[in-house]
Amino acid sequence: MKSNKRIFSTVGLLAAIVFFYGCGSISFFPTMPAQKAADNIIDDVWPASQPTVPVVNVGGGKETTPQPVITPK
Amino acid sequence: MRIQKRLLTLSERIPALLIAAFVCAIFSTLMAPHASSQTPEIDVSTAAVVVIKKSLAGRFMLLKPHFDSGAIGLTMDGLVAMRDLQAIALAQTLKVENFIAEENKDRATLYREIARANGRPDWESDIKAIFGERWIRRAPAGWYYRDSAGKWIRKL
Repeated sequence: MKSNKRIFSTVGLLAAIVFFYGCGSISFFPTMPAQKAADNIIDDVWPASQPTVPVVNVGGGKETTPQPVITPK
Repeated sequence: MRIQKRLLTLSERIPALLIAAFVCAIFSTLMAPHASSQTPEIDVSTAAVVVIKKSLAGRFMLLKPHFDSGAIGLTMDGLVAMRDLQAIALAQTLKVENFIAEENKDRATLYREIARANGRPDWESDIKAIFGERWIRRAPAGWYYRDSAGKWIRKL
């Protein structure tokens, strides 16, 4: 009777640990790194979709087209 | 008598030992993906991903005019779909349909490969959803996307 009680309590405790551990592993997904990775791939696949810097026509002269952003290496 | 008592104690312990072994097995399966999930970066540098990227990039210029005309559009699940058949010349229809099929095949492989490369095949649907959102966000104004209700929306 006593050993049965011990077994049940051990099983209960272990089941609780497994349950909470399982919940933790299911809910985790690195959204931000995944977005970054997706953006990197999209940059490679869609070169034309690179962000552009709008050119403001301050002096009222000839209009210029938006230039692609060039990051210094 | 003493041996009999010992055997009895051992037989009493067998269920507990079996349970402990079972729990250890569950833990080890849960812990393996959990440990790899702690890496902050998503690996997209595998050879398979590079090959798929090249394939997608090579097809982009073929699909772009049809995205621009609104004949095809993006979907929330990271794929491409036909939107307006009438925007395509009849002779081109089959060709464009083939492009879409190839594009979707590559995209599905890409999502699966990224999940696999990061040791989490169960992330495939999450990766698909992230890409779905990013393709739409990065698309230029004028392109169409299909929202979760199935309605086509023109990007402003």
